[in-house]
Amino acid sequence: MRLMKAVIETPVARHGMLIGDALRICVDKGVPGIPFVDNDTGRIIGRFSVRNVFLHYSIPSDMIKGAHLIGHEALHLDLSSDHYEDVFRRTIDCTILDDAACLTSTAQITKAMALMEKFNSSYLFVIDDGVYRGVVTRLGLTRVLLDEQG
Amino acid sequence: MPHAVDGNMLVAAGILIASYVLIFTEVIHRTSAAILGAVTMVAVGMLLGFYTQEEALMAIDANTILLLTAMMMLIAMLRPTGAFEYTAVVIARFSANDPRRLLIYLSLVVSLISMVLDNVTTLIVFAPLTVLIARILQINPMPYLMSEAILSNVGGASTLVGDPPNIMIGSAGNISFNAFITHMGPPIVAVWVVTVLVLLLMFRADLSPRRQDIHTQQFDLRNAVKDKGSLWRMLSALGLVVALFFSHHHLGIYPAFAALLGLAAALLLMQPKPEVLFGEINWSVLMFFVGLFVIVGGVEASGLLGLLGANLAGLAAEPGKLLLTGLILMWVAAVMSAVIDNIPFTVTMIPIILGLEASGAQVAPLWWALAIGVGLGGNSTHIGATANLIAVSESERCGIRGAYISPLAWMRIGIPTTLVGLAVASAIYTVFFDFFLT
Repeated sequence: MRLMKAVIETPVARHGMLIGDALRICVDKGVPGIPFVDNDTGRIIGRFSVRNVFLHYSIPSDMIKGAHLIGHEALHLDLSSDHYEDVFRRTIDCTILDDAACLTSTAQITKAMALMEKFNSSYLFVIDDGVYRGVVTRLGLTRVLLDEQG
Repeated sequence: MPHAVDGNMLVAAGILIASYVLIFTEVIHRTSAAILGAVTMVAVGMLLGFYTQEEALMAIDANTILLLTAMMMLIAMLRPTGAFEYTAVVIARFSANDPRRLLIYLSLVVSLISMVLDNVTTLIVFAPLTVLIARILQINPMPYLMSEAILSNVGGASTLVGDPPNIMIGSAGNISFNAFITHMGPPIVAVWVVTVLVLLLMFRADLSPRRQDIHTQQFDLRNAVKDKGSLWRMLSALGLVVALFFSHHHLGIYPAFAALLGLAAALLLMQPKPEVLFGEINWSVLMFFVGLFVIVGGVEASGLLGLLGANLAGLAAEPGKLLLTGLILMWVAAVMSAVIDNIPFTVTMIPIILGLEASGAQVAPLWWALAIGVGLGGNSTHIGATANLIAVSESERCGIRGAYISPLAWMRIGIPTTLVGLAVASAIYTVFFDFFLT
């Protein structure tokens, strides 16, 4: 149960939630994403990811491909606060990713790390008997390992 | 050779038409449709006795497939070096404050690269770079994306390896790289210049000189080239390929073998990871071509295309008629390329022209007419060439106001540009027709 030492309890995202509210949860809890659950069944059917919000609304693909070519005098590339205000007022539904990597609280830390590598993610959702327990992050797991060394 | 259409010909034509309907309607992916059509053609041909497995394998033009494969592998090794990024940033800095110069330089470089490398890959790399340049310079990327796509298609039409239809035409007509560039170069240069002028005129509102200064430090050139050593090794290998293209006829080697020699050198110099390199090859395109070759091979084996060629021989019997036939072929090829994929059209036309040749007609002018038509025709609609679709997709994805190229917006620019280009090419073809007889 070493994994439980790293679990961060969070609320979940649901249909109709605003992007701004979901981002606030992530920021307050210090997690890169939270589970997205079905309103009726309560089952996890996806995930809300901070990274995906920015990929979806704020970082054009051409800038990602050519990020290394942008010089230090390109000072007008940031999007306006109006743009972000508009994004934060939208619902999360179209930003949801359908690949939510989960594991149980009895899983070993090495397995958790391996799953993160497999899913190219820095966090996982912990579920026991269908009940959502929270998020574990790579940094959280590292902290557990460091704390055990005293 | 049969003198009338028989049952086998009708069956073969039916399979060809059904395959093309599947390909053009995109009910299933075009490569799946081509493989399905090829398998059906071989199976039915074997049952009815007009097509064998051996003939089907012989119908696949290995020169075309291997040339395309080798060039795809070379591009896959060149791309990560940052050569394209470096070129684009140098152009952006060099063109300074003049949007018209930027359009000309970008289009010129894309055209030149498209003469040797696949123009689709060139656009895949240059389109996002163009949007980034436009974003940094605070200008609309739309004119640049359209111009690059249109002029890469034009540039690619000038060489044997610039466009897949040209590879097929050159292979079928046994045309050397030098003969291709000698015949296609002059009309394409004229078409290129006229096309640029038309584009500058039509986009004049978007290309007015800028008021504010551009700081060259808005672009970071130091990070463009990721590995100088790799870049020089790849440029050496590509230099070898180009040199071999120019001399393959004298050396008695196929263009495909010239490309494979360069590829071998590149593999030796670069030692890439096989799983990465082979993952970059567009197998779908290669299998699409294989399927088309087998389908058309079946129609040819049924005797239909030979019969068609023999019946059309009268059209190419004398110079006056040959000129007219060439011009009609050029414009029909252009119209067909605007509305459907130019590859199936080219693959179908090749055996017909070879049939004409077998009937004693002088077909050299028809090869050039076909190459000009399929090379320029795709520019009139956004679906006419894959490079156009890449430009449209990038314009849609970038999210810059006014950048999106709608189908109508494409035709508003593409149709006049293509018509002017074809008119110029037709005039040159007519005035210097004797030159195109060889």
